[in-house]
Amino acid sequence: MKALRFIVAICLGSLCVPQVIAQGSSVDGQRIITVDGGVTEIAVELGATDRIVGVDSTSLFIPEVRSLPVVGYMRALSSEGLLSLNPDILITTSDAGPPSVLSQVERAKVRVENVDNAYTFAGIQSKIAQIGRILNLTDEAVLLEQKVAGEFSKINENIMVYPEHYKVMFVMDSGERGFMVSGKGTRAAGILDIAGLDNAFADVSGYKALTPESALLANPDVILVFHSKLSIDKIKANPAIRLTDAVKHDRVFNVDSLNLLNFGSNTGQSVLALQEWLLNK
Amino acid sequence: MTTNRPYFWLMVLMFALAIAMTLSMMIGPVSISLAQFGLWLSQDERLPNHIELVLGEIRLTRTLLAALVGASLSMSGAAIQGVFRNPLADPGLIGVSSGAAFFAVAIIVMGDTVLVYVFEPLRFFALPLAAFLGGVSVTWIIYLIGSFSSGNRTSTMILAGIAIQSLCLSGIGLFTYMADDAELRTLTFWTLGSFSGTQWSSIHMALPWILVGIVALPMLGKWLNVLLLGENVAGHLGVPISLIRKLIFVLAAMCVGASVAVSGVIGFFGLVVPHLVRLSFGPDHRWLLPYSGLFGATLMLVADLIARTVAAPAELPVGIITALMGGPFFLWLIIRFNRGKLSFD
Repeated sequence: MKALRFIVAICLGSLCVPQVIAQGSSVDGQRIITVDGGVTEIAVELGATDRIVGVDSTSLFIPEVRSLPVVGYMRALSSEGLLSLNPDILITTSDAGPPSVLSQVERAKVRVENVDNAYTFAGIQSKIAQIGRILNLTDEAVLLEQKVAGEFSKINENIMVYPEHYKVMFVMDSGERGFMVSGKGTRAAGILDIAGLDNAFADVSGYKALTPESALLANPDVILVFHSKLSIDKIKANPAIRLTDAVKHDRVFNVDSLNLLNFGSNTGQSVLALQEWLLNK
Repeated sequence: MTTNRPYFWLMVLMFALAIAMTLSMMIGPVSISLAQFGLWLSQDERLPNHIELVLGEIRLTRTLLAALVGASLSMSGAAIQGVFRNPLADPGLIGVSSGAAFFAVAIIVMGDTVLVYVFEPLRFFALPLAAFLGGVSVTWIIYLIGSFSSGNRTSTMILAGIAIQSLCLSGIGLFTYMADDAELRTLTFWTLGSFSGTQWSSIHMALPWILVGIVALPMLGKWLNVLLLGENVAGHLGVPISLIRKLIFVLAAMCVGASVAVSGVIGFFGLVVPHLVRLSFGPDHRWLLPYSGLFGATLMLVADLIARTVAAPAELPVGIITALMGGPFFLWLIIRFNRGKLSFD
């Protein structure tokens, strides 16, 4: 019977599904999974790279962890997937989930550590301190905090010499269909705040698709673009923003290479790079 | 080609389900040896704690829920196709899935603002409860519209179902637009379906509803067979048509509502599985319904197994797998068999 053949085929087929074997070395008897790019960045910076046995997909911009097993996107984790890496500690932020998966992992005697994730300078400092405590690397954490604090005072010095108040439009995925602008409460808004820039769309919340006219109306002085497939020239040619001050003064910038939105230990350097570009324009 | 050995095939399908359940318990990102599995079955204390947790808390709950949901979706699909006498009908058509998803999405996005006073006291149960209520109430609306019509009730209901389905989908679209980044990711669970993070509480929640449906629907098979002759003929033969239709609506809405509430909308399943079974074993509803239940449970276990191993340690939504498996296979069937076979003759 065809039905029987089909059933047998399915059963046999499912046997061929690859088994994933846990890999990665451990030092100090600790195996760590870091979930959230900022967390991974800080753990790597603190010198815990060889203890990390798995990361989430938002951490892959960090070269040191690119060869490690990926446990998926931070909001769509899988309990068995996490457990298959046999971790001792899972470090993450409140952005991770789903909650039922995290509670299952916790019941398997994995220490699940949720670190604060405020999109501010203080938030980054406390994130470094907390991760330092979790990893028993408090001295390294103090040094890293000092380094980051130094970068942030440079950022504030730069803010003092801004020739004007910049009104910034932070755009995600500016495809040919329009603009997705970053409103209040987003990571992008946090970066603008740190860099001393005004968000041109501070009155919308979250990421919102924008009608082209309102971009024209807002008339931003600076346009920052991330996650975009279009070239800067194509973006500038968009009729909605062709007449804005940003395009007139050639202040449209693709920030993907800066890794601006991770709120890890490199945030200060990223913002400094952004300021350098802005002040040279 | 109605099968002439129905009990034999019932046993074969039960055996296949047993194999699928065993495989689903044994295969996964955490590698577990046969010996460890044996220790777990005999509740031996030498089994390491984390293995026991993986088997007893993660895989067992997942396996049971996937089988339950697979059976419930396919059986409801077969019953709905039968009562509408339409091969394109599926549980989505009576609005259960989209209604449930719409209510769930509404809770995710509005739960901490407008709806907070309604759902704050219920907390963890708010989402599944809302999904269940949404599914059942949308089905009820469609049924009401159908019963107002003076002419052909079935086609009125199908049309109303399509209209309400797209209404729910645009409602979901509206909430998706309003959702923030974190909420969006939660929404994919409801629109693509997943068994990730299944706990015993999900099974406790879904089991009573699904069990009633799985037991009661096959008993209506005989009546569905008579209904195939057409509503007029069936009516003259003394079949209580509107009672049967009402019963099937209630049972299917309960089954699918409870399934969506714990696993999200797993597309394509309720449509394809009954067709596969009908093509293999014939259209006799007395056997079509139990076969669909068993085969659906088996297939769902396989789909979930793929979903959680193929990208391990990450995981895919199971709805993607079912659609990827079901779509091409369904097309192949349509091309291979002549079109007549897809109808109910």
